[in-house]
Amino acid sequence: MSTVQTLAPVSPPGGVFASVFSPSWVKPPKYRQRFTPAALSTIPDTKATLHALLRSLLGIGDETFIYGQDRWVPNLGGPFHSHFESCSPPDQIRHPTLADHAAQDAEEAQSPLWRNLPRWRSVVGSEPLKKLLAAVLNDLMTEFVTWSYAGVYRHSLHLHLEFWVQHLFARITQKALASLDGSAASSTISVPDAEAKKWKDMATARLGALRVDELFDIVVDWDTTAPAIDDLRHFTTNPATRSYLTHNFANVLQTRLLHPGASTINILQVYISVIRSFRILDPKGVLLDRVAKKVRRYLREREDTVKVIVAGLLSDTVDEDGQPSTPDPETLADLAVELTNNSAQDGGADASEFDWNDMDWVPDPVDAAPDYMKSKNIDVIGSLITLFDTKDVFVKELQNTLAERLLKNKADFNQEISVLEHLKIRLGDAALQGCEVMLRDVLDSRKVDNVIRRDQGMQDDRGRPRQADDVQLHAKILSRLFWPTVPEQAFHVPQVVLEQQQTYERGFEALKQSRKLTWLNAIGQVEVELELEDRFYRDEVLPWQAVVIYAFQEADANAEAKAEAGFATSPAQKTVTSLASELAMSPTLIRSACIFWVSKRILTEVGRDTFAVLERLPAGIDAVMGGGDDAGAAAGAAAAAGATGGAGRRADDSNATAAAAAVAAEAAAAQAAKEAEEAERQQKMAMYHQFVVSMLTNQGAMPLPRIAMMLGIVVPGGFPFSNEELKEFLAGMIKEGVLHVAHGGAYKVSS
Amino acid sequence: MDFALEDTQNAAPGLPSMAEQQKLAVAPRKADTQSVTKRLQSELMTLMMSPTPGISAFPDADGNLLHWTATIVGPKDTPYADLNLKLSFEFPGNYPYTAPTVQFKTPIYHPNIDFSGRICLDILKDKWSAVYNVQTVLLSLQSLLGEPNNASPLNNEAAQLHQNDPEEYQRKVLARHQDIDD
Repeated sequence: MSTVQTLAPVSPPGGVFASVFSPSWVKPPKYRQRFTPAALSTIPDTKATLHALLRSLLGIGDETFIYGQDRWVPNLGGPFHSHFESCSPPDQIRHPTLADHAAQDAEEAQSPLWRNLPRWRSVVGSEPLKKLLAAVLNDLMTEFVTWSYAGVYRHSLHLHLEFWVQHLFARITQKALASLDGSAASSTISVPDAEAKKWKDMATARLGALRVDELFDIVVDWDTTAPAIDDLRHFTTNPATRSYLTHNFANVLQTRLLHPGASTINILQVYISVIRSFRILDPKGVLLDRVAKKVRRYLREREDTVKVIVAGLLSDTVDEDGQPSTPDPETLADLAVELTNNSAQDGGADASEFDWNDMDWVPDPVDAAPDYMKSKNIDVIGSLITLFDTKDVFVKELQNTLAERLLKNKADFNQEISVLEHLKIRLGDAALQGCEVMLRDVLDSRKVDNVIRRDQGMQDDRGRPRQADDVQLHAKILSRLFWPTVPEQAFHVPQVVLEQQQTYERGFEALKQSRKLTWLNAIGQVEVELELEDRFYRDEVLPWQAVVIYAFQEADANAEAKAEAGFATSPAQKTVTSLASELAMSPTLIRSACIFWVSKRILTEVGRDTFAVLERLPAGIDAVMGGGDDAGAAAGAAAAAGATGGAGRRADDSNATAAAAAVAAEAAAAQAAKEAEEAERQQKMAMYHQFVVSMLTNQGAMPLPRIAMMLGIVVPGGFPFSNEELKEFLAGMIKEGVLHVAHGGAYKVSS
Repeated sequence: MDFALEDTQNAAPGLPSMAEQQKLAVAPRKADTQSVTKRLQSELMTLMMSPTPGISAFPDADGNLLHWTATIVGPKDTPYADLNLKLSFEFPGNYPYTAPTVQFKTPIYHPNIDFSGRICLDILKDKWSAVYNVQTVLLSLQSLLGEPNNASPLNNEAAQLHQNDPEEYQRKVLARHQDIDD
């Protein structure tokens, strides 16, 4: 071991700066130098003192440090504070005047450093002391950058840094070396330009490394942190630093973002910020390309990515009053804004590599990956809609979401139209033809609806209904081929509605020959008005909910007839099973509807699965709760519903009651949705069943892994089961007698 | 042939060379494979969603969907009743504009099928049309089993026997049949 090596900084400068820059410890000398033990023991002490003295000379750690005179000089600007946060805007820092220099010199002359240097030199010698000085200065530069700039993002930061290097760091270094060499430490020593530039480059690299380290936070807080990207632009000027940046950032993304704990919306939000910030950092998109690969691959694996993107694109940017709506953390409303603001201004197509007339053409950066393709789509929307290999995935989801929105009872669909037009520019007319047809359907339906209703005498010329209390039927006519399939939840509609539907159908067939209407009763909205003995209720509900409450009205009419005939009258009462057979609806759906009405305090559950109309609101709420509580438990609602119900009863608090009932209603609706999902799952299972049977019939006996592999290839959209689940599924088929296990564990069709 | 290779040396300039020709031929085909795969995927889906009793088909394990194996169960009231007959389908790169190559893998005794399993059926030859699919081909073959076309036989003996000696025909059918199990 060379003795001088003990001079090296004990800990290399923070892990942050370690990987790009060559290790900063002092290289061992060519020949050994021997110190007396006494001299050796002074070295750590010397170093610590040197460090402390230089630190204060360079203004590190001192938030009140000022270069020169502390006053504002008109036309020249304010003084330089070494602490960036307390400094005036960098472009207003005064270029030091002679007075400043003089003041600073006087200040510095008081430092014990100048007295100590000759003394230290006599102990350890000139060369080792210079190395000691170098090591300390090296540490101090990093220390300064971290202390002054970490977490501080302001414009023209490099001016500040340059000032510090030029007037403090380089000058004091020069001065110290001069005093070591014994030449007169004159105050007029100026730093040669070449040397100053080297120092500046070094400082910029330190700053860059710091910013790379902070990059994830910078990106997450994007917009307020924009100046930091400017700092990085001074840094990423050569392939080594560029690859350091991308490598480091990709790793940070991997550990901090791309894990199951982050929601898809979060990931997308960060990805959007990454796109925005990296476009400024490197307009050619090479850095972005390298960083985003992993994110894109990860996003592709997430099932709900496409849903989130589409929902974001179609989200409302303004609320009903035309005010910008408050951002909802559940949707990426950012995307909608971006889409409307940014109508492909960078004109895509003619910016190709083959535009020979492009006089501003520059080659791809040297560090572009071999498979780097200069894509036109490096803006936010473009990146997101090209996330998937085919447009189909995206277009399909767009159709689903669009269908949902178009079927709502809205006054106009301007937002949908504008989104669609913007997307057309990017995806092409052909891809969005289906969506276009859907939009046209809905817009045309309005006209057709008017014509039919007038022709069939369902309304008068001004579009008002003929009879005030008639059921009013409006229809949206959808072209079946272009709409996503709607889950079929068939049920009987009331007679009055059925008659209207038939009239409407006649009108339609008269208007458009050789076309037929099929009614989708499950989708739509119904405005209901309920007149109860003590109150009046009006709301817009779903068709199946309306149908259920309508059934009570009929029962009520019967009861009234009885009452007139002198029978004892009681509110209409129905059981779930009787309703189910009457309306040909699934009992779960009926339950869900009834509980919905219980939550609105229109119905009450008088016995298990038996509901009655609540004609008068009871004074207390025990009656309601008796039902509601029961309903909650029976519907398998969360225990919370029951608990809230109990509390409500004790506290006699009607709010709690209503809340509990609402929770129960929600639970019941969830139950109904679950049932629909279950039905779909069953259907899928039947399909897998068929796949397995067909595969084993034709390809002979196969072991489990091969079955799983083949299913993965042939099932459209991929096979979602794990091997364990598949094993269970196959076991089920064996139980049914469809399969049996042949020798060697291979599955075989029983014939 | 060999001279085609040598010819590249002497080819007139301006004509595409051998290598270029290969490239020219390959490029459109590659683009095509995707649409073929798509079509076959949807045919498979139709077969799965609405299975027809007695016939079934499934892609082989090579993963590109261009080779399938199909199974026909011999229809009742024919000499082939309840026999499992396996076939191989091979789809060309421009399917469905060209017919697939279909062969019986199970040894079969039939007037229109030769001993190596080749089939003489008009819709697999000149009468092929893009509206046919795996399901229709299998249904045609199933009905061919019951009603051979004795006018244009590949197997003369079978045609003769089918017309003149049904019992002997039945015996030969069963004698030739052999379940293949892989």
